[in-house]
Amino acid sequence: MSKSVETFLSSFLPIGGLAAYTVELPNAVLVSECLSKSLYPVSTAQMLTHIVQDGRTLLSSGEQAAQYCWTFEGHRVYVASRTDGVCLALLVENNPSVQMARVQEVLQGFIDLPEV
Amino acid sequence: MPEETNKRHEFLFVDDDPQFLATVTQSKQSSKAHWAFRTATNHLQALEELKAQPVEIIVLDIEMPVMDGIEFLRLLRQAHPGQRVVMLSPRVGDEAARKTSMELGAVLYLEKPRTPEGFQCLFAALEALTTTGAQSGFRGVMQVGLHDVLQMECLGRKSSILGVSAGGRKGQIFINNGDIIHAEYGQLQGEMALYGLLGLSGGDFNLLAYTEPSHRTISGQYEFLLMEAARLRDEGSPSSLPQIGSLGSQDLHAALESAPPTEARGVRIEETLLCSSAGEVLHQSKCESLEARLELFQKLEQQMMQASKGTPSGRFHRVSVDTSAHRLLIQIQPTYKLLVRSALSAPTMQP
Repeated sequence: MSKSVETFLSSFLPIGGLAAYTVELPNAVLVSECLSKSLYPVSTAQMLTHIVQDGRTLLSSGEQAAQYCWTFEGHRVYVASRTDGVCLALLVENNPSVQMARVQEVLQGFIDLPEV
Repeated sequence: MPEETNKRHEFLFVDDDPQFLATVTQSKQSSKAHWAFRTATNHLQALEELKAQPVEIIVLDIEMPVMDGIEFLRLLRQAHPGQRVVMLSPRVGDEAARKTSMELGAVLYLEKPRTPEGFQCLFAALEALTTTGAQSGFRGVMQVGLHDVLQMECLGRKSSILGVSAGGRKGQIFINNGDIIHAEYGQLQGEMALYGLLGLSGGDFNLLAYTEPSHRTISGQYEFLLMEAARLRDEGSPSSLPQIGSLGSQDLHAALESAPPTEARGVRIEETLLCSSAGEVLHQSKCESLEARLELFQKLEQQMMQASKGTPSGRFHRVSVDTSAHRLLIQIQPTYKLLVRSALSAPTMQP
């Protein structure tokens, strides 16, 4: 993982309710971390990868920076997609105890990071 | 509501079990400055208590010797009309007793608590009942009370039908063994009906004996469904369309037809598409390629099923995409699929 991403993420973690996260380039995974013991790391990483890729197809041409919220019954996946194509995906539990303000801070901060 | 908060609320618990009454009086709630608990072990004592000083709510055990709770409720109806009574039963599956209690005017029929969590539920229900008068709202329970009652039914793993009526319209929520399995509201069915009912601001409700619905339309966990209902109510969503969840399909169609651009809120709806689960287009506005959109629904549904395979994330519900200029919302429910694309007049980035 790039030093700037590592420093950026470590300045926010831990976040209550965050179950997993991944940082992805358009064609490669930079880092994937499963923080919840109730999830399988491999299937969780695959899910986040799928979601990041599928999300890119929803953007109109010319639109690159975006934030996504994918809602499932048990989890939500928040994705921040930068203009350089690097994405951060956060898998959070679908319950009221999630520190949503922190999640939103991370997403916006990731988009605003000058260089990844 | 400071006036309500400071108002003194008196309760009379009637139960032949002294241990239960002791637990009630030792509870944290009984020490609340504005709550007063009185107790009686039989109907005669209870009548004496009421004669000495009326109470706001009577909490009545259904199983008592000499005169049981239902007989006493019948008597109360004549002797103290308008008295609010909450019935407690150790056998919550006794649908005949539930039905009779509700017909006799009980405001709630609840499982008699045996655990600290059970007592918490009971006190939460009493609190909800005290927050509003008997003449408005859901027969003495404010709108949030409907949510609470539903939650209690689910927590208690009960089977019942929550009948709701408001403004001449009726709905029902079917709960089977603590799971919300079906809802109907006007011409709506499934989650949309559930959200519509839970979004109502007032009306009446009744807990009815459970009967199987004609079919099951809801399969999600009740916690998620209640959270979604709360979120939709807070947002007035989906996607800023007016009270969409509370409308029948005709009304929904009309609302979508007439949904004006919401310039004042910085949002202009550019495209809407509402389909049935079978892909039948129920409404569309400014949709450039219906075929492409229908394909998108199908593709997204498949992709998300594939993505969440092997994880406990469960069914996919929706995705929202926010860019500096646009917002796209795609919602995929068992009974409908909805796409709303809107343009933002001011650059914002909100997840």
